[in-house]
Amino acid sequence: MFRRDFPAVIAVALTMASFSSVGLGDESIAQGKTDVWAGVYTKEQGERGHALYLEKCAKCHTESLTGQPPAPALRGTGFMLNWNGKSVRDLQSRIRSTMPADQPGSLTRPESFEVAAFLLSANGFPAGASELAGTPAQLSEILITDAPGRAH
Amino acid sequence: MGWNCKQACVLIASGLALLVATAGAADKSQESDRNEWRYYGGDPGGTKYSPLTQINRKNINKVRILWNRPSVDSKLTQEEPDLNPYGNLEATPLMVNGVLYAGDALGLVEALDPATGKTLWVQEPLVPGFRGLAGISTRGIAYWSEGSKRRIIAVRTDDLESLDADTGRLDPNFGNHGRVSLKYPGPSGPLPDGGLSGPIVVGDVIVVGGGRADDVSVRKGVASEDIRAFDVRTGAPRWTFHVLPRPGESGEETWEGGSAKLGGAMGAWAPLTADLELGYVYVPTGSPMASFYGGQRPGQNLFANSLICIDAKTGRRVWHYQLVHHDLWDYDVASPPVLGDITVQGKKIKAVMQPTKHGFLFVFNRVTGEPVWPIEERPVPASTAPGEKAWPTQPFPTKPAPFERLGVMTDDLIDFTPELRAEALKIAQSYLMGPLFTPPSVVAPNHTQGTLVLPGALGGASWTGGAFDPDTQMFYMPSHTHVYVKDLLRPPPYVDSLTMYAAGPPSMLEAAMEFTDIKDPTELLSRMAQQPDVANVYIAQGPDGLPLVKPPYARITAYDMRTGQTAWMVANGDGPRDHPRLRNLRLPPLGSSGRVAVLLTKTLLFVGEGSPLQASAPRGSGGKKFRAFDKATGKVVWETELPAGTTGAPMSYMYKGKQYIVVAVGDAKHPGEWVALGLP
Repeated sequence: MFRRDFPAVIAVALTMASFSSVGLGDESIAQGKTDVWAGVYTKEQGERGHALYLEKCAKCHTESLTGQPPAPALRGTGFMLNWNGKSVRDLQSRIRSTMPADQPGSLTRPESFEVAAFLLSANGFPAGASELAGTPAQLSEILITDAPGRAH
Repeated sequence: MGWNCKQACVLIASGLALLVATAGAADKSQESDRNEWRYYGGDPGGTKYSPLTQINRKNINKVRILWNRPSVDSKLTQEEPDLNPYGNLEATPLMVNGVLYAGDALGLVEALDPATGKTLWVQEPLVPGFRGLAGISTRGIAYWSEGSKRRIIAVRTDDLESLDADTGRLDPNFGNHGRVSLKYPGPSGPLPDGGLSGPIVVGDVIVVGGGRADDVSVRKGVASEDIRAFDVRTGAPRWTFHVLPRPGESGEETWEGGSAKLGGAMGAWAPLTADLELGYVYVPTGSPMASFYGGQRPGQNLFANSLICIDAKTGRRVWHYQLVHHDLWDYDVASPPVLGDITVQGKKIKAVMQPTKHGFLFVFNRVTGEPVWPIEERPVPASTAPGEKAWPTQPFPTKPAPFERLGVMTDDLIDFTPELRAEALKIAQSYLMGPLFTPPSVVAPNHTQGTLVLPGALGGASWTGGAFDPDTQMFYMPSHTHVYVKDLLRPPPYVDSLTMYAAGPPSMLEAAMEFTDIKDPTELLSRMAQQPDVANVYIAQGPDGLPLVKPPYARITAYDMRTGQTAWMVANGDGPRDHPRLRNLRLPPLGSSGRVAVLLTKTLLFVGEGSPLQASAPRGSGGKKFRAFDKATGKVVWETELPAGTTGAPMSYMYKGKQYIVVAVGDAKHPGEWVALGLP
């Protein structure tokens, strides 16, 4: 018997997948608010982020992103409890400003985008045609939300 | 960004301005001036007591916010847009010689004007650029002076730093250009090797506790988080106390079968305290590695979960007392030991009062280590986990009474309504219930889902600790209540951890396989690893998100230390009384579960509700309220709402004729901020 939230998260992931939309890339970002359902990173960027994650993050947050005290979960309900309603800028800059906990600030800006892209990927948000990048102001316009379209 | 000319000029100019501002102000002795706040806990003994009286019960209703500001100087965040300070600002400032010194939300020390909060200087980072600025909040910093030499001692990431208190520049005569590495051998943990709680200076010695991991991890061979001391002038190592005894050292025999070689962790990650007259430092140590399963470390496991008194000059252990034997519950001794003089049955005793995660206040003579009231070794439940040999007895203080609900039995479950009672019972019956120290259990189909553990591993008490009033000999203890589920199914996804489990007969994985249809170890591991949310796993939920056990969920307990008796206990905050299933019942305050620290003044007790970031349980509890309680009765005499919940311990000082109370606040959407309260 596994813990009660195990099937629930699979359901969440499936729900997320069913709402996947076509990537809108930088064009939509430039036009104003968008959200993480618009395909704001590329698959390759997420894969590079995965490799970085395993190297820099997994020892505390675990390879499967479940977290272990005091490192929080980075997938599923644990992730969304902390990040739902915030922006990609919040996520990327938090990663860069405070992580890895034993060497904060050691990720370059592009690397922090890659790790953020991996976390979006791991939480079921779709990849798109353009890499995650941009100014803090632009990134602030990309909402992390469990409800597609809420940003508009 | 580098530490560029513009910033350097700002720093130098600010430093000069400060030098001018403080010129002629002869430095005071190391004796604490109680208009100031010279130590993390107010004084070396960590009483969190200020004798100031300007803000008092008569005028408390006039108190308002005098200034507030982001903890990180806005110049830094403007120049580095990627800098995103976290809301969990755990620091408490010092106030010395008319300057407020505080670690900010990045862990950088800033000097502030006590009257306005304006930045006087920001410390020089160890390395230039973004890397030097990035970081997380630490809890405490220390101050030391000798003649005209004045230093701020801080721990940031893995470094001990000495800063010129007048300029924020690193002291070139200390260690390697102002820093000493605190890195333990071996792989890093999730927290800095020097811990977050900060150093303490005892005489001319800096003592650092450690605590890189608070190690619930089961990594094999994790470092022993030894207690270390350094020369305050030069940073040279002075002594090291091995929390994991080395071959031939006292305590090695408590790791049976040579299991000390697997050791480690056990760092003292709570703030340390000291008796400057005795020259002793009081060190509360954490759990050993693999805090929930000790099959690989049979024995009592010294010096884990202990209060240790160490001679700060030599590193000699004067006395120790282990408060949890062979820990299986992650019951670190996680609160600062509080030093105070008490009179019991006509006898004056130099006491140390040690709150614990598991809800006790242990009280000792701090000179000899002798318990003030008897501590009994009582039988506790055995473990049913394969390979586990729980220690048969645990220490129970006969006085004072515990400040938390202990263990989960049927009578502890909520009974707000018969329906809720029935639902809580149904939930609880799927777990193993039992008294305090019921060991974690294996979860499996047709078996219970693990052990309900109360107090949970977040405390009870934690680093926020208690407070002691030296005038009245009353001790005040804030604590919160949540039930943990401790199960033994899920091995973390480390090869080494599996090796640890597998090394004992039989392994946890094998045990799990006995109870499941999944016989492929890879598949079983894969399924276990897919469980997504540790928080939900660890904290037991009652019906509809309500707690599983009866209130209060956060409380303040007052003890009369002359008798060891409980004087009063009150709930702190409303808690879930507005929950849809409770709101028609017109319940009294139930307590808002959050981690909080108390500030005592001559007439009042101040405490917040705790930010949701502060280990609130269930998640999102805590609140923004900040209250003053009557110290004699526990009655709320004043409350206000802060911009966010409290994240650090409040402190107080007098500056230019005005008393201030400063506290850190923040939450997930509110970067860490200082709030200063006082009379208009």
